[in-house]
Amino acid sequence: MNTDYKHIDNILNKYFEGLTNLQEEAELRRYFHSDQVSIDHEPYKALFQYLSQAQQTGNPLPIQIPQPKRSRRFYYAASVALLMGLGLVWLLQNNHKTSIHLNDASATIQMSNQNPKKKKEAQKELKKFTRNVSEGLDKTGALSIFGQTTKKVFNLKTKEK
Amino acid sequence: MTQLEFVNTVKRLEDKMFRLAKMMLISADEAADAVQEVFTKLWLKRNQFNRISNTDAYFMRAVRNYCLDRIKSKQAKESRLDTVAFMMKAPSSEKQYDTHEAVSIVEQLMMELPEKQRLIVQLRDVDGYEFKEIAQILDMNENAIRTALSRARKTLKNALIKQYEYGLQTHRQYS
Repeated sequence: MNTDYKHIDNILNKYFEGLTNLQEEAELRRYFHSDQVSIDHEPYKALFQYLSQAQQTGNPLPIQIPQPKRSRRFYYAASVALLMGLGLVWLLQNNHKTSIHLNDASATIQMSNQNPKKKKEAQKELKKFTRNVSEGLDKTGALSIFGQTTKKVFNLKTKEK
Repeated sequence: MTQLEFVNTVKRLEDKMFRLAKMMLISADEAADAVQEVFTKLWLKRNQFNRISNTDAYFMRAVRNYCLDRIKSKQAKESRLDTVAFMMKAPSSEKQYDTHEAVSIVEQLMMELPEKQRLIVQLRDVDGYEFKEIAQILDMNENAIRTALSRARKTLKNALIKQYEYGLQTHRQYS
C-alpha cells in the first residue's frame, strides 16, 4: 500500500510538471476513480472526476453530411425513365379499358382479381356467358338443317332446268 | 477520401470537435453549429485529404480555426461573455465540501484559465492527444505545449488545495 502511495504520488508530481505519458495519466484516472484514494490526494479527486465527465460530453446534434451533387446526365436519364414509366402506365390503362368494352365477363374477372368479394359475381357472369355460348351453338344446329334443306331445294330446281 | 471514409471520420471526431468548440465558444448550441459548419466545409475539400498526413489533427485544427473566427466576430464575443458570467456562480459556503460541488468548481476554474492553456488541458487530459498532435492542432511547438500544460495543471492544483482547505474550515465551523 505504501509503495502504491509512493508510486502514485510520484506520477502525480510528474503530472503537474507536464511530464507524464498517456499511460501514466490513465493510471492516475483509474486511481482517482477507485475507493483507495489517499487523504493527501483528496483535493485532486474532483479534477480527475471533472475530466472523466468532460470525456462523456458529446455532440448533441447529428451531423448532416451533404449529399454528393448529381451530374446533368443523371437528371436526363431520370426524366427519360419517368416519361417512359408514365407512358407505360397510360398504355396499360388504355388496354384495360378496351378489354372492359370487349367483353363484360372478362372485365368482371379482371375486377374480381382486385376485389375478392366480386369473385362470386364474376363466376356467375362467366356461367351466364358460357350458357349463352352453348345455347348459341345449339341454335347453329337448327341453322345447319335449314341450310341442308335449302341446298336440296336449289339442287332440285337446277335439275328441273 | 471516399464518402464512407468521411462518414467514419465524422463518427470518430464529432464529439472531440464539439468539446473543443464548446471549450472555445462556451455555448453548446454555437459549438454544435460550428461542428456542422466545419464538417460541411471539409466535405467539399475531401478530395484533397489524400495529401494530408494526419487527418484527425487537420479536422481538429479546422474546428479550432473556425471557432477563432467566430470569437473574433463581435456577436460571438458578446454571447460568450454573457455565458461565462452566467456560469460563474459563487460556490455555496454553507455547504460541506462535497465532490459534486468540487467538480463544478473545477469547471469554473477551467474557464478562468487562459484560452491556450484551457485548450491544451482539453486536448490532452480530456481527448487524450499526444503532444505532437496537439502541436499540429494548435500550431505550437511541443515544448511550449508542455510548459503551458504544466502551468495550467499547477494553477488548478493550487486552486483545488485552497478550495479543499476552505471547505474543511467551513465544515469544522458548522459541525
